Amino acid sequence: MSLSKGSKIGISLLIVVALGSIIGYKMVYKPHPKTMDQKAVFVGTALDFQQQVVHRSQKWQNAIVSLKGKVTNLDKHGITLNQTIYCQLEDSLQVARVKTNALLAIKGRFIGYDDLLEEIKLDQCIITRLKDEKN
Amino acid sequence: MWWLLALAIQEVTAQKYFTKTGLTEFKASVAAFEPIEAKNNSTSAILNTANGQVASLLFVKAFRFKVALMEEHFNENYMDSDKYPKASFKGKIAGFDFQKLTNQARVFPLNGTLTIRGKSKAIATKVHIRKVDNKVVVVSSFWVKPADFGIKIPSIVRKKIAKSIEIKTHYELIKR
Repeated sequence: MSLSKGSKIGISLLIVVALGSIIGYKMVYKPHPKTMDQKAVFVGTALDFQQQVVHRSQKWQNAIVSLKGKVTNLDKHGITLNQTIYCQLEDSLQVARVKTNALLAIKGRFIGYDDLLEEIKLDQCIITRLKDEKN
Repeated sequence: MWWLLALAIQEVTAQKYFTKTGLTEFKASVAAFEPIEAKNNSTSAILNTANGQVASLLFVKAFRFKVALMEEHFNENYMDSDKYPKASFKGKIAGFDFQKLTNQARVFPLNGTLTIRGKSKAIATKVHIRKVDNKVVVVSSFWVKPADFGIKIPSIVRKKIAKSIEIKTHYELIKR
């Protein structure tokens, strides 16, 4: 089967356009990055991070952080670590897994220092490790 | 002696209600084009029930769009959120009386100052308040113009972005 020159060009053009639109579509409608898939740029205790934010809150804007700390308070949507770091969970149902005073590790995004409530705020948090105080 | 006691009681009843996870959303959509809207469900808000003063604060980067790329453009090109990470509101609910709140929403006038991108603008609107169990639910909406906050819309997308943007707030406050 041989094709005329014209239809060969036509078919290749069609393929290029189709590929182009698929790639273009994927670029425009790329999904939101997931906390789980991102690398934490700060790994440490809640206390250490608190110190970091006091001095250079701007530096950590939007950074993915991994923190270890003690749960001092719970509400419908999140967990407070060491009384000063509020972690809003990606899936608020996960709050039910946690009890006050539990020790845990959390990964989330630092969104800023809330000077209204005087606390550090993280969102899109996931619990990466959980352990009761008794153990 | 009595007035001292009265004063003390008043001091005790000066309560604050607050939330850390209030919902603030905006719509800048124009019919026939892709919807431009986003939600921020980590807004902090405080209400002083003794005098009706309110304050709220949100982080611009915590606005979520359906389209991730739109969110990037919003932060980088329009809101400059690295430089201005916060938006805030401070105001007062006129004629606020905590004792009169019921589970039926009451409407109060709300006046205050909205600060976005370091620029402030006076806002006058109405707020619907109801008390459900131990929560005070405060719902409001108002319109702003991007130009009021020094947000420049390039001419190429001007037709796709509404001239007036509606901001809606829904805060469920609990006792602090």
